[in-house]
Amino acid sequence: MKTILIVDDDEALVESVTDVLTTEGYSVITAANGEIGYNMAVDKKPDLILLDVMMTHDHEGFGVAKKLRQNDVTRKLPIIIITGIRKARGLPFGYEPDEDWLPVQAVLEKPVDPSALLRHVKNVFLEAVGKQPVQ
Amino acid sequence: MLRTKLFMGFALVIIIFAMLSAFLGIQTIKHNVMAEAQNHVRLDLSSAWAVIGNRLEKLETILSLLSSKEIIVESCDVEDWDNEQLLHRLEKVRRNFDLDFLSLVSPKGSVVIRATAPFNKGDYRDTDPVISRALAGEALSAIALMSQAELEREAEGLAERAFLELDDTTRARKTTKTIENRGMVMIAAQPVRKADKIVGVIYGGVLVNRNHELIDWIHDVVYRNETYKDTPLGTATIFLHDIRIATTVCLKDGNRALGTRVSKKVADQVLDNGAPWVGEAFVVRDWYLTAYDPIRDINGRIIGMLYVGILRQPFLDSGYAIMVRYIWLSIFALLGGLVVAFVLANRLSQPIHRLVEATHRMSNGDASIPVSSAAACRETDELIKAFNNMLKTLAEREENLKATNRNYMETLGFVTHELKSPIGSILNYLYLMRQHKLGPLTEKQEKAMRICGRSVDHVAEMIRHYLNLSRIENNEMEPHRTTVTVSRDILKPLLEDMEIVIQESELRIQNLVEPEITVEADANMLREVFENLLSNAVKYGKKNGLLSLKARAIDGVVEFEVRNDGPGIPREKLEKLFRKFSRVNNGGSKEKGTGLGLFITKYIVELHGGTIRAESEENSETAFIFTLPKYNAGRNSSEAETT
Repeated sequence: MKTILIVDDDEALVESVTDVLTTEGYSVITAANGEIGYNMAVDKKPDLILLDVMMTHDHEGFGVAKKLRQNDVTRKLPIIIITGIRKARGLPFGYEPDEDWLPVQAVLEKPVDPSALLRHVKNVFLEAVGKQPVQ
Repeated sequence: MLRTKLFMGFALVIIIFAMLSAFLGIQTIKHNVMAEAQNHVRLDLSSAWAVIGNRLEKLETILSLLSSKEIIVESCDVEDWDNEQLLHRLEKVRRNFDLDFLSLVSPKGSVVIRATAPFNKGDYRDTDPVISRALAGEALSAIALMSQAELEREAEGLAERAFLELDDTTRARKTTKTIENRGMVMIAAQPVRKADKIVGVIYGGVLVNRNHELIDWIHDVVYRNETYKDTPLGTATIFLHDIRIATTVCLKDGNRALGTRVSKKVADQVLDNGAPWVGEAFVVRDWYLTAYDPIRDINGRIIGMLYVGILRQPFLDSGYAIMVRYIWLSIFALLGGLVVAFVLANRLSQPIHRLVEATHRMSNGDASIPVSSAAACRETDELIKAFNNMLKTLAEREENLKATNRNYMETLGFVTHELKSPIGSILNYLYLMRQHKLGPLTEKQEKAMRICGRSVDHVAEMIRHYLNLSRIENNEMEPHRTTVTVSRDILKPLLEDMEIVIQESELRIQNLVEPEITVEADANMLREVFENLLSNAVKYGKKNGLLSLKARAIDGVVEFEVRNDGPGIPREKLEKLFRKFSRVNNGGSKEKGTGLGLFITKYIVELHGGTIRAESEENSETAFIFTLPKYNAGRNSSEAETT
C-alpha cells in the first residue's frame, strides 16, 4: 500500500483529502507545518508528498521541497505542490515544475478538484514504475 | 478654427475702416485741393483788377500832370485853341504815354483840341458821364464804352481797331449780332483850373479792344508766363458784354480767340445778376478753374467782364499725388493692422487651443501635463490657471480612486484566496459522496449532491474570476510563455475536469483541434481562456446541441474557434460582451455568471498579442474566435511541426 504524506496547516482540508485518498486505497500520514513535514518525510519515507506552499510562512512549502531534495534520503521522493498562491504573493502566474528552482512532479492550484488530484497521484506512481501516465 | 475666425473678424473691421478712411480721405483731399484752387483763382482775379486799377491810376496821373502845365492852363484861360505849339505838345505826350486819344474840352463841353485828329473838333462831349463830371470839377478815371462814331471821331483807325466779327460759339447766348463795332476804353478826365475857375477839361485814354499789350501785361503780372506741360498755366480775358475783345486764350490755330463769346451760363450770372462767377470751365482746349467779375462803367452799368483762369490739371495732379501717398499710407496701415490682428488672434486663440488639447489629452486619460501659460491676457491666464488647478484636483482624485480600487482589489484577492481551502474540503466530500464512497445515496440525496456540486462549481469559478480580475487591475498578469501543445496540455485535462458538467449539460462535444497545434503562450492563462469559453458554451448551449472546438494555423497565428448551438446573442450585444461585468444572458436564461469570464479571456488573448471576436446567429449558434501566436519561430519550427 502506497503511503502519502500531506503537509498542510488547514485541518478541514487535510481531513477531507485524507478521506479521499484512503477511500482510493492509499495510506495517509499528515503534518501541520513544514518542519514537522520535513522530519516526517525523512523518518517515514512516504511514497509521495502533497505539499502546501503557504503555511506558517508565505513560501514555507518551497523551502521544504528544496530541503528534501538536498537530503540523500529524500532526494528521489515525488512531491506534488498544492498552492492557492500565485503572482499575488510574489510568484509568477504560470510557474511549472522546474529542475532547478521547483523540483517537483506537479503543481496544482487550489481548489483542487478531487478527481484531478487522484489522476495526478496515479500518474506519479505510474511514472515511478515506468508506465505511461494516465491523461 | 478659432484663430482664423478671430483673424477674419479683425480683418473685416480693419478693411471696412480702411476703406471708409480712404473714401473720406480722398473726398477731403479732393475738396481741399479744389477749394485751394478756387481760392487761388479768386486771388488771381484780384491781381488782375489791381493791374487794371494801376493802369487807370497811371492815366489819371498823366492827365493830372498835363492839366497843370502852364501852356495848357494859359491857352484855356484865353481860349487860344489854335495854338500849334499846344497841339504838338499834347501829341508828344500822347505818343510818349501810348494813349489812343487825348483831347481838350472847353468849359461848355465842345472839343477844342484833339491831339490825334486835329481837324476833328467842335463836337460836344458834355453828355459823356466822365467828361461831364470832370467839367463839374472832378478828376476821375473809368472804363467806358464808346460807339463806332465816337471812336471814329477820336482817332483815325480807332474804330477799325475796335471792330470785331463775332464767332459762332455753341454754348453762348443766342444772338443775331454778327459784329461788334463798339469799343471799350479806359478813360481818364481832369479839369483844367485857373485860379479855381475851370477853364477846360483834358481827357485821354486807351482802347481795350485788341489791346494785346494790356492783356499780356495783366497775364504776365498774374501768371508770370508760367506753363504746365507746355500749356500756359493761366489765361486772362476782357469781355465787352459777352464778347472776347482782349485775351491771352488762343484758338487751335494759335490765333487769339477774339470775337468768341462766353457761355450763356456765365453771361447770365455775371452780366445779368452782376455777381462774380467761380467754377470749372472748358476753355478752348483744356479744363480751367475760372473766375469772372463784372466790369462796370462810371454809372455802375455792367458793360463787360474781367476773366482769369488757371489750368485745372496741376491741382488735380498735386491732388492725385497726395492721394497716391495717402493710399500707400493706408495700404501700409492696413497691412500693419492685419499683422497686428494676426498676432492678436494668435495670442488670443493660443490658450484656448492649449486648453482644447489638454482636454483631449484628459479624455485620453492623460491629465498629468499642466497647460503652459500663453501670457496673452489676464483672463486667459486665469482660465489656464483654473484649468490647471482642476487638472491637479482631478489627478489627485483619480490617484485616490486608484488607491482605493487597489486596496479593494487586494482585499478581494485575499478574501477569495482564503475561500480556496474551504471550497477544497467541500469539493472533496462532494466527490466522495457522489462516488458513493461514503455509502449509498437515496435519489433525493443524489439530487441534493448534484445541486451542491453545481453551486460549488459556480463559487469556484467566481473565486478564479475575482482573483484574475484582481491581478488584471493590479497589473500583475505577466505571461510566462512556454511552448504549449494545446490538445495535449490544455484541452484533454480540461475536458476531463469538466466531464461531469458536460455530461449534465447533455451536449455533444466535437474536438477537432489537431494534436500538433502548438502555440507560444502561458499555459495557465490559456487554460483559463478555454475554461471560460467552454463553460460559457456549456451554460448557454442547447440540449443535445453540438459544441465544437476547432483550430487552424494562418500566417504565423493559430485561430481557435469555440462554437455551440444555442439561442445566440443579439447583434447589438456582441460588442458589449467583452466588457467588465457584462452578461451573455439572453432572455430567460437562469445561468449565473460573474460577468468577468469574457473580459478576462479578452485580456489574456490580447496580452498574448492576439485578437478575439464573437459571431452569433440568433436562435442558431454562437462562436468565439480568437488568435494566438503560433509556435514556429526560428529553429524550433520544424520540431514543432513534427511534434
